[in-house]
Amino acid sequence: MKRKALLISLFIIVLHIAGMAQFFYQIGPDDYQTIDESQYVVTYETTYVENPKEPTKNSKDRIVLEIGKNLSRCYNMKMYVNDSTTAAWVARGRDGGPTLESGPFNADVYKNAKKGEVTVVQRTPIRGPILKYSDFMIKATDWVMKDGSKQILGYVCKKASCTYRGRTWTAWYALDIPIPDGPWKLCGLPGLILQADDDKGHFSFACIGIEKGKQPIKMLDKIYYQESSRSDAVRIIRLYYADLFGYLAMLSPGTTIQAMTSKGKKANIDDTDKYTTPYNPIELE
Amino acid sequence: MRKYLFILFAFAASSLKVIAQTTISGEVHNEKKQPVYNASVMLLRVADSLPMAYTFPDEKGHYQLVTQSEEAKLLLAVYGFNLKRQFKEVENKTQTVDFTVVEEALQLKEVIVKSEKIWGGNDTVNYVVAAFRDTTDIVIADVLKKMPGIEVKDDGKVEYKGKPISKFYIENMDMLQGRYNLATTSIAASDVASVQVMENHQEVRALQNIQFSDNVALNIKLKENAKGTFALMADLGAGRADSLQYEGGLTGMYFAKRNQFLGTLKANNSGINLVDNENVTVTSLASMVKPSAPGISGVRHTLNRSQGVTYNSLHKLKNEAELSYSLLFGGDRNRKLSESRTLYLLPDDTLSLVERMQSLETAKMLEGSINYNLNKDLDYLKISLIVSGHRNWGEGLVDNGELIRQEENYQSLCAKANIHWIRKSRRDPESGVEFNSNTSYGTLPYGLQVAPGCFPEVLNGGEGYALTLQNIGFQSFKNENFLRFLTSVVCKRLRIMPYFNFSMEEQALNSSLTGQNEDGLTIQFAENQFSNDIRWHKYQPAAGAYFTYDRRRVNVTLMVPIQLRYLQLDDRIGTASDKQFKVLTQPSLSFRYDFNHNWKVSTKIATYNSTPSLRTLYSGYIMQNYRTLSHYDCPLADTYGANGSLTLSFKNIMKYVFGDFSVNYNRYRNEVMYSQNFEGNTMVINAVEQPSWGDYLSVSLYAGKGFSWKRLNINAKCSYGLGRSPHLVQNQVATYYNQGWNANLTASIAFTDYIFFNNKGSFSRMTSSLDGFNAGSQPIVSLIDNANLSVLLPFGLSLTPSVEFYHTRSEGRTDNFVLLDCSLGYTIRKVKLSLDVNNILDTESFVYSYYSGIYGYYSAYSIRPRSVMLGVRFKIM
Repeated sequence: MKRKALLISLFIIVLHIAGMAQFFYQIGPDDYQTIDESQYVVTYETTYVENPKEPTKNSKDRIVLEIGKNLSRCYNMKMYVNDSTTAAWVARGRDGGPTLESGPFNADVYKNAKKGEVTVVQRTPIRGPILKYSDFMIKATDWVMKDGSKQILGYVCKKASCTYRGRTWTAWYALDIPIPDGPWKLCGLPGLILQADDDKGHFSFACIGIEKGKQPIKMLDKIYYQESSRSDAVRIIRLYYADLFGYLAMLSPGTTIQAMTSKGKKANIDDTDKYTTPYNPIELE
Repeated sequence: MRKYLFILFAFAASSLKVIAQTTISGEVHNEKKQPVYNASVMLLRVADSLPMAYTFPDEKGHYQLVTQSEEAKLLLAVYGFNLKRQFKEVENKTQTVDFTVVEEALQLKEVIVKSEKIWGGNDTVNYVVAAFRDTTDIVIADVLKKMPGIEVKDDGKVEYKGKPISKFYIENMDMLQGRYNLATTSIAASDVASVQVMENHQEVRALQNIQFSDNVALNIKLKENAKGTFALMADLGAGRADSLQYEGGLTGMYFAKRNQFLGTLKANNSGINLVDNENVTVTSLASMVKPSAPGISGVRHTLNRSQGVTYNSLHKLKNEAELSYSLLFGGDRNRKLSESRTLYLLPDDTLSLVERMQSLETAKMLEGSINYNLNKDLDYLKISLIVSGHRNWGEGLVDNGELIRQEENYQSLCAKANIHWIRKSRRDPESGVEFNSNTSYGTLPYGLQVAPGCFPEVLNGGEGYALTLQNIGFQSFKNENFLRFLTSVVCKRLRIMPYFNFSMEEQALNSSLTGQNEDGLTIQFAENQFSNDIRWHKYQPAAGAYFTYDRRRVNVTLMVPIQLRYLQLDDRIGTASDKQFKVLTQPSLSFRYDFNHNWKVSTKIATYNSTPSLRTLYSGYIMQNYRTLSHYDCPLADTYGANGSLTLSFKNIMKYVFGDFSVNYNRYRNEVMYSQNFEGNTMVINAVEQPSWGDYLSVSLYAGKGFSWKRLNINAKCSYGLGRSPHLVQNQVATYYNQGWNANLTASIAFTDYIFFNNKGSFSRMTSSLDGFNAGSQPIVSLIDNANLSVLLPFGLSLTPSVEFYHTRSEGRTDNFVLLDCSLGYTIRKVKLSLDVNNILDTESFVYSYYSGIYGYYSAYSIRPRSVMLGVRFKIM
């Protein structure tokens, strides 16, 4: 969010669009292919801290978990609305849609419990490349059962905890919904996870809706993404937060990038502090 | 030594205890002995069912659980998606336990996500109806009123940010073709899931990336259970005002994916006029002087008897084209009463005319339309035909010191046809050809009788006579054809589209003015002076081009036409025959820029040229009404003008804020002036060749804001206008300055889940002054406030008292009055009963005033007295 404010209020970045064309995609709802059909649609409100130095400042997103027979898809509602808006703009002859705000959940996370696979289709900031990678799935043995129960949305939930990618998560799951799934990459408990919080209080997921609903579970058409690895995806996103100009240079190699002040003067881009943004990744390792 | 042995033993015992674990394994399969892997097998503590360990079986259904629990017994459970749960109490020892599971549908308790009230993107706003609706809302128009940015007029027409919507869709289909108030006042609020507003809506898909549109469309999205089922609603009501009051209606609706239907059958004498004049293209050149209805809800002032039937249906054809047709029949009989004062602000004097008026008018109408619409990305074809017939009778009395009787009788027949076709190239979808043809025809024979005879000095040599008879026949035909080549982008985003246009217009006017003496004998007035037989022809070929530049945030459209215009006036009785040939150009420019998601700016500049039609070109006198006699004996003349507008628009959906600020300016130059000369209370109009100019400036501000707190919604609109217009009055040129302020504020709030409050207030101040004279300098001030409170009571009861306060100040006279209403509602199952008591204080007349040009107008209009009405609304099927 801050990065966006910085971009708008202080600088107009001059980019050589032609050099970047390879990444300027326009994704609309029609650019997906159906891979399963949902039986249940679960909505979570996520609260997260963008800057670890300011842990009291929270941002919010809404994410949707579509549970199908064979797999589930979890995506960010903001991303879906952005895609729809882009499609509407493009239909009226515009170049593209609005820029998607950067955030930790700009990805489609597909979990296939039978195969024990997690597939992530990750968006990168400023319409950078879309990367598809595989990740391991949290197993039953990773979770530790804890004492305690509470009611969430009328369901009695049990408590469990696990450490995943550097964060310790406490999850509340409903045995009455015996679906071993949950928000984002969290899964592997004998009931649906209705709430999850990390021990630092930086990330939390709270279920706000459970609906029966047969709707297609979709995956982006393969022409839009590149096969990649998790480590590459993490590296690219880290670069955006650590060095904006380095990130832009990576998106359009060979292009000269010049920052201008709002008065039209050239800005000094060596002052690198200005172009780093506090980063609080959900996966620390 | 013994001590060491004891320690060793203790250590060994504790070690044994650590490694004492239980392994339970087995198989999970279904009744057909097939392995089940999508289940979880859990070990629970017997005391409190706390899960201690769990696992998922492998593909062969095998599972293995290990526990170090010291409990004597354990609870083993199998949970699974669509499986019936099983529990087995087992000894805490290593063993094999198999499960045979049976399928059972998961009974899930749904929790519906509380949606945002409003969400959407740049040009689309979605309003979730449930977030705005309360139980007192019956039809969708009731809920639309509470949505920030949306306003609903008394007739059911909708405005978004102060601008009328251009299209109304139900489930993305346009069945009602502009007569959408039928839907807003019929569709049950409880059947609608969301309302979608689309800004910059280009309804023609083939033009979507070619021609920018600033129209606004509204789409009603129905709930799933309201689709594909036929609903028949009934409304019945009976009561008493000064006589028996009744209203009854049947509304049938069906909305499915490929077919839609809406039909109504209604009758009432409670103030709802079911005759629709929307498609009447010709209006009469004369009329009775009759009470002019105030701009308040018709239910308040219309003392009528009305019946109407409508049939509207739409079918989606195999090629996805939409075929819709409608049929309307209406009848109305309307009684009006008022006392009015008209001021003529003259250079040397102010004339005042007081008239007590009453009229009784009867109207009947029959209208049919058919519409075919194929709207695809590369092909567009629209064919529509509307035929509308009206029959009217009226009689009126005016008492201005003398009693004047009037009678009028007329019938109009109008037809409109449109063919709009676009074909785009398959190879280059940005290029193609567009053809649009509009044809309209209207005929209106009109008769007016006034007794006693009018204008004796002018018509009958100063000798009084009994009756004036005016007969006017007016016919109009217009055809316009437009051909445009949709070319590809020529340079970056610049597109040039050449076009050709040909229009022709024909009008014919026949009129005769005769008199009758006391004995019923006809008096012929001088024929060439008081009759007309005129034909007017206008042919206008044009060619030009559209230049458009369209980028992500910028849209510029420039239109440059060159027109040839040929006019011919063929006056077969008088001496006004004339011809004119001119070359004209009327360029226009529009520009839009989106600063970001929230802010937009747009501007339009256009020049125009108009030439008077036959309505102001006749040379023989026509009696417009009992006190106005007019003729326009002058050569063909033009009006040249230019107007410009600037609009700054703001929208923040997440914060429910909407705003618009606009400035409009219009300046014109006339080649002729219309001289108005008063002789006593009668006015004679003549056209005189004398150039003049006038202008008009208006500024308006609209702001709407919704709040989550108490569902508060506020809409405010403020406007200021200043006009300067020249008039030739009593042979002197006088410039009239009209200026006015207007401010409107509407607000709705839910104090609790049971108490709702709505308020609508408006304030206006108007002045009219004459250059160098003092006449008419008194301002007219008007303040109106309508408030209503809805209270939900136990047992399905609701109480809605409402109050309307009116304050009018003009010409040193102040009028204040209050209209008080109360409604008691009762809902039992799906039947809604209502008891309405309107105008509780029994106020007799509605007072209003305004200025227009050289006129000042004040009227006290008789309204419906206190009325009591018991109504019932229920679903038949």
